[in-house]
Amino acid sequence: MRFAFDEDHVLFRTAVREFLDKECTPADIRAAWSSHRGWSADRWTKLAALGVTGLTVPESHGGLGMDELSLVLVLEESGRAGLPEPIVDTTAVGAPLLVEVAPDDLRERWLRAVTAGQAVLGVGLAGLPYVDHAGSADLLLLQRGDELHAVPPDQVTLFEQPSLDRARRLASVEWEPGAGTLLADGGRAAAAVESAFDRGALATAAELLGVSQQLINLAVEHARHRVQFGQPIGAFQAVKHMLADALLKLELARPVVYRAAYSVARGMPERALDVSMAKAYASDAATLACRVALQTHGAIGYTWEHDLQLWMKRGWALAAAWGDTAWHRARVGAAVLPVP
Amino acid sequence: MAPALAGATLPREPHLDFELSAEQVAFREEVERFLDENDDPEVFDVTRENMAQIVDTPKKRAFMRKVGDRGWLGITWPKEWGGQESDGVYEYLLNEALARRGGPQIGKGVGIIGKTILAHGNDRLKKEFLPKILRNEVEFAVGYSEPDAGSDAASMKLRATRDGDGWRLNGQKTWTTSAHFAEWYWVGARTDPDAPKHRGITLFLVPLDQPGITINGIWTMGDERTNDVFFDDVWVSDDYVVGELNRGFQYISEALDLERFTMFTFSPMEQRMEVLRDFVAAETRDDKRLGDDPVVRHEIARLATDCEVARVLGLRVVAKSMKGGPPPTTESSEYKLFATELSKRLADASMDIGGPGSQLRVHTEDAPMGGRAESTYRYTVIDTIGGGASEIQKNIIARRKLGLPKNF
Repeated sequence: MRFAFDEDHVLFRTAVREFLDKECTPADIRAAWSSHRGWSADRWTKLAALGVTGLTVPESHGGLGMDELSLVLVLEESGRAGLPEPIVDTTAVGAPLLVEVAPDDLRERWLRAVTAGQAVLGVGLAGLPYVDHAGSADLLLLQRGDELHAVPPDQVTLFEQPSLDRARRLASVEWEPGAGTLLADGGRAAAAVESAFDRGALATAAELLGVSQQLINLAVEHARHRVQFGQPIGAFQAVKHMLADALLKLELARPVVYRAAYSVARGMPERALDVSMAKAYASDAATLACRVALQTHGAIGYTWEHDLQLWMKRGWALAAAWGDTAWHRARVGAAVLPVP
Repeated sequence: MAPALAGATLPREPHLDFELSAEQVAFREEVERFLDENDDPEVFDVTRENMAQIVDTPKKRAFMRKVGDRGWLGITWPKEWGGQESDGVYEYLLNEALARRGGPQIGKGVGIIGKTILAHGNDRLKKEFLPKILRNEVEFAVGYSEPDAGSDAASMKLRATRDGDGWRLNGQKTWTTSAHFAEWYWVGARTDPDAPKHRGITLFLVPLDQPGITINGIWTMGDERTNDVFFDDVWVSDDYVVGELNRGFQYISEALDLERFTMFTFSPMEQRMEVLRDFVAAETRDDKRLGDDPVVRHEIARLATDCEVARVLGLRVVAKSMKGGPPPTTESSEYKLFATELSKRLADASMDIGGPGSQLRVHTEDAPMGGRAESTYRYTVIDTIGGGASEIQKNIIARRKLGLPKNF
């Protein structure tokens, strides 16, 4: 047993963090909020150059061929930075889904494009009715009953669904399945959909760790400098304990997410259970971090000008995406105590 | 039974009674009829959540004037000043009915400002403002907070210096929600910089169109506007000093007890609880009724219980402040603390249970509960900060009810 990441994992994470510190500032996120598609093609290309977009793409298709253990560290960083680009749908879910079910030519074409930063993927599954950045996806991977399809954007009609997080451009997608778009059906499609959903929930849980960390960092910074009653508010136990509780919840969630990443990477039989524990716990940790961060900031944190909202809204949105807490907790319940 | 007690004459305490009297029920019905007659989506909008209470549009003003015509703005005021000298419970019933529909409420004018003027104001202030308040002809903004005086409100620095028969005000206020539409500013300023911080503050009434006042909007996550207000040599006559010099913080504290209670009405919580319950009852997920899910049922049961707790905590405050007396401090703090934290838990549960659609913005057609999960979440998140943060309420409870020492 080894309860630590390899040096390679850590080095890659550090490289991503340094990149995001420079290229994904709060001003950049606000620019994405007011941009047409909600994210930056330029930053996506640079992420590709770093290897991030093709992280899960096999080396035979030009990618890094890394597994979920590497991925979750990178996603913690994208959450921490509030990255608006569609890394979850494209890299964490879409690419592995193509690997699993796409025919050779399709797979080669799209995985190369993803790795080069020239394409993003959108994912719409039964439990995921609102497709993130559907309007800017180059290929949509969509479930319809027991079929899975790869649908070009010109064959769908989109209905915008305004999200509380302005970087998440959600839409419902109307489309007609055809023989030309079919990727898989029957048991093969069902298995692919299940693993895709687990990958998405895991990826979102990992991003939520980063979101929570950033919220706590901002709150701690504020608590150190904001003076009331003649001292920094961080000196008051009421504030200290609140922040310690939020950090504790995050620290408890982190190993659960890593454990789920391990299960997904190794295709363990308890994968779904581990993922649900991770997503429920990470969502709870983020919800608490949002609350505590705002409570610590006071009214200033509630303003449009303050950057806190960039992470609070991400936290709220991601907590509801890829299975909300009640759904995942019910799945844990069903696994632990199966109904005969 | 203990025989010694049998037949003994004990002092008769009134029985505990959770029911409204026949008069109170009749009043509530009268209010509901009135609200039905005056129903208007531009006046009543539950999606503005706790911000629905402010009277910030001409239509809302016109509606509140009608409330005033009914005599309902002065329910607890003395007859001498046009009031009815009636029980606070009627004011409570009216406010809860207004709040339930997302309507404007009896707030600052009748409560904070009117009641403070009644208790401490000079005759001139009484004659000028009280009749206008009863007819809802004036809106007020309240200015206590400053950039460096939030939870520590007593450290406000806005300076008032003597100038002839009045005062010159210089400095900045912040989080003044109504400054951009109100006529008068109810503002605390430091008149004695050498006194201990609680004893050097005076309350003033200042017209918001007075030269030297600048109002800058601050937009919030709730998509609502609040304001910074800057004072640059603003002159105020002695006539508009409220009560005694340097007693302002005492008046502010008395009024805050009231604010804590009236600003955070119970009925919107009950209404949100019903929205969530109805959603759970109707929704199916993975071909199973959401209402059959034990995880969901447990959460709903817990929230329903806590809503009832909030309701009776509110009634306890009302019962203790009958005849328009001041609301009891610790009970108000306990209510505010519990109710606003419950609001957040309700919002959390709506997001947790609402499914993927709960991240959709309010008024989006596809959003579950009409998008209320999202709007409730965004709006109520500030309720544990405004009107005294939860941590401040706990300090009050610890000091006043438990007698624990002050730690700052």
